Amino acid sequence: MRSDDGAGPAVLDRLRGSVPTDVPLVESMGDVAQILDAWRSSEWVIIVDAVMSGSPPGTVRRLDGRGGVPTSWRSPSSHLIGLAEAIELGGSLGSLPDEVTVFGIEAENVDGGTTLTPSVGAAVEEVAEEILTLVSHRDA
Amino acid sequence: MSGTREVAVDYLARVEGEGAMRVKVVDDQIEDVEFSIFEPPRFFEAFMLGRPYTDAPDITARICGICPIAYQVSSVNAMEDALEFDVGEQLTALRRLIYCGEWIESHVLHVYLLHAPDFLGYESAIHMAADHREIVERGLRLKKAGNAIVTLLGGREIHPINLRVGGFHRVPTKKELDSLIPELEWGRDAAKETIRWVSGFSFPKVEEEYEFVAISQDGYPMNTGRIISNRGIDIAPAEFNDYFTEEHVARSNALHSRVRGRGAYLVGPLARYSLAFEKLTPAARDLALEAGLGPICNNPFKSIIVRSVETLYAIEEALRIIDEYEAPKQSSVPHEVKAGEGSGVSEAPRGLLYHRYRLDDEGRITDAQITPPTAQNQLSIESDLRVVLEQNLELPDDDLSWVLEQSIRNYDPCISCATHFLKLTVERVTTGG
Repeated sequence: MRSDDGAGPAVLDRLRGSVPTDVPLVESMGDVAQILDAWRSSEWVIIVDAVMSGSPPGTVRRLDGRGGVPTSWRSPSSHLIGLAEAIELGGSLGSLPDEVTVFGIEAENVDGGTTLTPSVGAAVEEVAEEILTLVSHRDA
Repeated sequence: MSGTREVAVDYLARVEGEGAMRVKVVDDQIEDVEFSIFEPPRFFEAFMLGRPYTDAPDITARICGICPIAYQVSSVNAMEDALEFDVGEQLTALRRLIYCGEWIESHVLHVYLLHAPDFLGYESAIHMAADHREIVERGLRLKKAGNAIVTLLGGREIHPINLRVGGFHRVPTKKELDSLIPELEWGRDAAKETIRWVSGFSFPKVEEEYEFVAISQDGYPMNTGRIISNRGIDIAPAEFNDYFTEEHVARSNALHSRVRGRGAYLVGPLARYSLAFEKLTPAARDLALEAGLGPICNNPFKSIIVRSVETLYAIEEALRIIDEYEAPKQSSVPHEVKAGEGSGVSEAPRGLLYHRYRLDDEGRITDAQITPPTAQNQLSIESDLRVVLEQNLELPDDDLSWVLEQSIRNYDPCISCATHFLKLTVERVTTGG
């Protein structure tokens, strides 16, 4: 309902059926308790979120989350705690996985709409492919 | 001291969503206080037009990520009013139970991660967690207990899908509900510890004269009922627009609510608590008094105590409903589809949430009105800001910003429901006079 805010779930939809069954796919509205719980027993977590940092729409950036997430990556999902703070909180509580890979997809429109904008749609495909590559290399 | 003072803060942290606040001081006299919300067009009301009435709970649930149940319950209450039928006692109790889960989630998030850092002098919950790890973990586990109720009855962890006009798509078994008990029993004690913890904070002495507005029902105000105030309002939801008006203000795209012929009013935990103190559970009442509250609370800073008390209430109420539960024979009540207009209210964690819909004879939505609690509180927030400003004019700008931001956070405004961006500006002007 908020257009490019759905970038993360869209990536999940692309991954469903393509990742090994022992790789859980978790969709979150940004509920900090849910997120920290989902990570607690994991060695490696890959996170995908829509961001609004001023980059051109559709820009994809990949980070090591343990090094911190830019505060300019304010999630357009303004509900609850932002991703940067959730990761930092996990760090403070000692519940962060050993590896945290974060993909940020720059949103164009988060005001209202049921579809992704074209640039974000393309970014979703790019991120999904990259995740599949990462996971397959890990398994190999 | 005369002079121009200008304080600008780029964003208001720790408010769900964003808004804007501007304060102007001329020669140490407050000239203007504005709490403004910049909001894109009301997408959701417009989106529902032409859609079947059955879509309303699912669409409105997406307005707010932290209070989807509130939107769903207000919407089904309004639709069932339009279609003139009642879902009965047991399904209503299930709606109240899932609502308890949402109150727990929302209040605990606010108390522990959004509001407590203010009182303890921390910049954020992250900094607080480094020094108070066990306390933050307690909050997260409490929030999870609320999540569990919403997930079980809502059908999934995000955007609950199980509520419908007429009841639910599926009702839980007694065994499924009983599985919630152990964590809720732990949560009851944790909620009591929460009240004791926050009651030890230091609170500015602020006493406001509010017109409190909340639901009136048999139990503590939560899932349905009439609308009352401490200044004589006692109406059915259908009369809402006869007593309350929404006005567009030039500086904001959200609608500012007033009592017709009067002015600002307050919805939310302080209103519920002050209008229905005697309907809390005995333990909740006792701990509220032990925490230093009276039967009425009109200090907005003490809202953190009231939210903690309501969290305890919600846990005890959830345990009561689970204990008394008998699975209904049908998950949903059959009903006739017809043209009509209906209104519904419920108490979102942040306050009264009003929905009104008009339906054609095929049950398609031809008109929709949604009045969220934060929009209703805007004028009260502005009024509070003026009082806090008057009392703190001597503070340096950074400290003043901090106190003013805290004032807005007292309201736990779910600005995502009403807006998209917040920016704080304090302008101080010297005339040399």
